[in-house]
Amino acid sequence: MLDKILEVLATLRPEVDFTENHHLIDDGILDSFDIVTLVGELNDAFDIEIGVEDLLPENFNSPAAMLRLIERLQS
Amino acid sequence: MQAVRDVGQFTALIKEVRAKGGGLLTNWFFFLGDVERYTQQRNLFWVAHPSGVLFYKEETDLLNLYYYFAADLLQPAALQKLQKPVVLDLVSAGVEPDLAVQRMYTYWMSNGFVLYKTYRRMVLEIKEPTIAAESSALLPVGYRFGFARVEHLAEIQSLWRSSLDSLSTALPDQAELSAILENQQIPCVFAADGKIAAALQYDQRGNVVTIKHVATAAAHRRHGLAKALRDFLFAKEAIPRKYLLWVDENNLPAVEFYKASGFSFDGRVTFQLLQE
Repeated sequence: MLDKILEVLATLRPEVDFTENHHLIDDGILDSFDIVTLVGELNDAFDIEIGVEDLLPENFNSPAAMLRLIERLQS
Repeated sequence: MQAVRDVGQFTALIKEVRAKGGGLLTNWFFFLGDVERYTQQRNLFWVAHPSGVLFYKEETDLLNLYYYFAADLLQPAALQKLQKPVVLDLVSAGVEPDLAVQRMYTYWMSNGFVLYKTYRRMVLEIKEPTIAAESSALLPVGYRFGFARVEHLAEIQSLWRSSLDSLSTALPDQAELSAILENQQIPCVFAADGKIAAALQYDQRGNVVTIKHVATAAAHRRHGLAKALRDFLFAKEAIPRKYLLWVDENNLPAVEFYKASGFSFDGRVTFQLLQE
């Protein structure tokens, strides 16, 4: 599942090494423009609905954080 | 139009739209921390729309519009005229907008909006030091670098107003600008008489520096002050870092200036629509 997240992120921002970055929001690597696209892509890729209550920077700061969010929404 | 009371009301309004099915169409996802701040400042408003809900974030001279629509319910509706101009930003990952952006662009153009400006994002990554820090030698005689302080607030406001398009650029209000000045986020060039000749406002998160505004007072143009300020900023921050900025694609002198500075387009485009 992590590979799929990395794939989505790589499509969104091919120039970023997402395996090395763990403060994607805090450091401004992903901004709100990216989140608009990212939420849609993750919803489609994992058949989930990321809710407005999930829109917290800590849920998008790293691929691992996104994985935790997706696993929670799938359960 | 009513003020959004708190984060709870904000999330409830969006959940109601989402429950109508077909997926959510929006031009922006707010982080809840931002919503909390806006509701405390009482500058976030909402209004019901046949397709969902609209949020307006009030700025000094304009209202930024954010829509949250149920994709299955998209239907025409003219928006009420408000006291300030209403600006809607549609962001596309490429010059050729994707289908979702194209759909909403067409929708809004058919519902009382016109294209006002197209902005493109430029990026510059610096991995090694290039310029000696704070070199006054970069400035013509009589000028000096410094940071605008709170006592320069009125002067900065006046400079932004005379140089920037206040419909395109959400200028900070007095409280925001005070905080920006206290944080030393506006390096300036001061003229011999102590007045601000040029200024640059930036914002930094991690190693990403976003250049927000750059302006030179009319009496001091053509002295290379913007270039000097750019170099001052480049020399100031730790390395490696990335610089971002948005530029009006029709402002060719600005585009050329940034290209000559090493910036390049990163593909991100904002279509800025204005309510007629």
